[in-house]
Amino acid sequence: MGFERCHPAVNFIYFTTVIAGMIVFQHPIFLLISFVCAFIYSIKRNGWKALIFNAVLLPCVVAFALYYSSYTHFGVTVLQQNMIGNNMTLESLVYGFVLGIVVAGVLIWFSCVYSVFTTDKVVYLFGKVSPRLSLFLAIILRMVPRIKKEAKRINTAQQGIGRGANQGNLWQRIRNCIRIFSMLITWTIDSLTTASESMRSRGSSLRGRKAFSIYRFDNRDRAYVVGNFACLTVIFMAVMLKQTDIIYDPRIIMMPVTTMSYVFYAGYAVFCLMPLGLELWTEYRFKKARRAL
Amino acid sequence: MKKSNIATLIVFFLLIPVTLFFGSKLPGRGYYITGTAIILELMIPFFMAFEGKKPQARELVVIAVMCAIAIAARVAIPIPNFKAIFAVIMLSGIAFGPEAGFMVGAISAFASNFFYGQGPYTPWQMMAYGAGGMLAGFCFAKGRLPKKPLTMAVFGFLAVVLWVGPLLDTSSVFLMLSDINWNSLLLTYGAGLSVNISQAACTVLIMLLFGRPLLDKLDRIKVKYGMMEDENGL
Repeated sequence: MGFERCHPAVNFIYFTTVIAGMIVFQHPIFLLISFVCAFIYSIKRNGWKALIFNAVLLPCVVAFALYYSSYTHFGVTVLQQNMIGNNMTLESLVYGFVLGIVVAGVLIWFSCVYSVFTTDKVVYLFGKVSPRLSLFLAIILRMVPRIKKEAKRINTAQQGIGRGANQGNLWQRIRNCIRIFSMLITWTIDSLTTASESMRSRGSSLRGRKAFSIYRFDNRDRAYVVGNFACLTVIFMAVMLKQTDIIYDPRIIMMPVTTMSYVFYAGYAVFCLMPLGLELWTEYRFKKARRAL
Repeated sequence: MKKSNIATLIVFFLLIPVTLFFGSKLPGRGYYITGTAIILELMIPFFMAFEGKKPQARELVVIAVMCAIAIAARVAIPIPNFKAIFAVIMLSGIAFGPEAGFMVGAISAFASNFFYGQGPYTPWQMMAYGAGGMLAGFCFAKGRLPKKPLTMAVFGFLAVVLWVGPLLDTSSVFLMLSDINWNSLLLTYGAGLSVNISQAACTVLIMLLFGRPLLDKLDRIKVKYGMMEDENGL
C-alpha cells in the first residue's frame, strides 16, 4: 500500500530528483528540510529499525563535523586554537556539519529506496534500455545484503576453529579480521562472477527479452508525476533566484531570506513529503472504506 | 599496435586534456559535467579492448568490486594524506591491464569524492588516479617488470611521487595560482612533495603487506574464468 504501488518509473524519477537535491543543495534550510523528511519517511517505511539506524547516524554527523574542523582550517571566524596551534574556525565546523548531514541524509534516503525499489522493478525499468545493464544492476544491488550474510557465515565457521573476529588477544583479533576480510573479497569476486555467468547462460542478457511485470501506468501515476514536477518547478525557481546558493569559504554568505523564500521552502518540503503524504492518504482511504462496509 | 591501444592513447593524451581545458571554463558546478564526460570517454578504450566480443557483465562486476575496495581503502584509513587507494588502483591495473586500471582509478576517485566533497579538482583527480592505474598496467604487462612485492612497492613509490602526485599538483597550479611563473610553480610542486611522499609511503606499505595476496586472488579469478585475457598491454 502506498508509494511502492506506483509505477517503477514514478519511483525512479522521484528518488533520483530527491537524492540529487540532497547532494546538490548545501543551503542549511533546504538541507534540514530534506533530512527531516527523509527521517520521518524512513521511520514510516521501516519502523523501529529505521529509528535506531537514524539515531546512530546523528552522533556520527557530530563526530564527523568535529573531525573535519580539526584538520581543515579555512574561514575567518576563529573559535579557539587547538593544542598544536591550528585555528578551529566556525566556517569549517559548519561545513563539516553540512557534509555530515548530506552523507547521512543520502544514506537515509537510500534506506527508503531499498524498501520501495525492489530488484524486479530495476530489471523492469532498465531491461528495456539495455539487458546487460539491467543484469549488472540487479547483481550489484544484491551485493551488499549477500556480502553481509556471507561475512556472518565465515565468522561463525572461523569461530569454530578459534579464529573468530572476537577471539584471542588484540593482535590475534586484528589478524583474524584481516583473514576474514581476505576470504570475503575472494568469495565476493568469485560468487558475483558465477552469478553473472549463470544469469547470462539463462539468457538474461539477450536482446528482446521481456521482464515479468505487473506494472501499468495509470491516472494515479500521472497525477503523481504532475505534482512532482510542479514542486520541481518551484525548486528550479529558487535555484534561478539563487536562493539555494551559499558560500562557506572564507565566510558564510547567503542570499537574504524574503517572503518568496518561504514559498520555496514550502515547495521543497511538499516535494520531500509527497510519498509520505500519499501513503497516509491511502491508509486513511482504506480505513474509511473498511468502516463503510 | 592494436586499435584499442591507439584509442587509449588518443583518449588519454588528447580527449581528456581537451575536456579538462574546456571543463575548467564552465561556471558553477560544471565539474560534475566534466567528471561525467571523462568517465564516458574512458569507456571508449575499455570497450574497444574487447574487439568485437562485447564486455560481459562479469568483467564489469569485477571492476565494480575493485572500485568498492579502492573507495573503502581511501575512506577506512582515518589519517589524512595516508591512503591505500593508490595501491589498490595500481594492483587492479597490474592484474587486469591498463584500461581496467584506468577505469578503476577514475571511477573510485569520482565515487569516493562523495565522502570528501566534490570540487573543481574532481576531474583532475579522476585523471590522475586513472593515470596511476594505467601506468601500472602498462609497466607490468607482458612481464616487463616482475610481479614481486618489492618491485611493486618500489614502482608504487616512484609512480606516486613522480607521476600521480605531480598530476594532482598540476590541478592546484591551474585552479589556485593567479599568475603562473617559475617561482610559484616550484613552490606549488615543492609543497606537494611532502604530501606525495606520505601517500607513497602508504602505497609501499600496502604493496609489501597486501600486494601479493590481493594479486593472487585477482590472477586466480582471471585464470579461472578466462576474463580480460588481453596479456599484450600497450
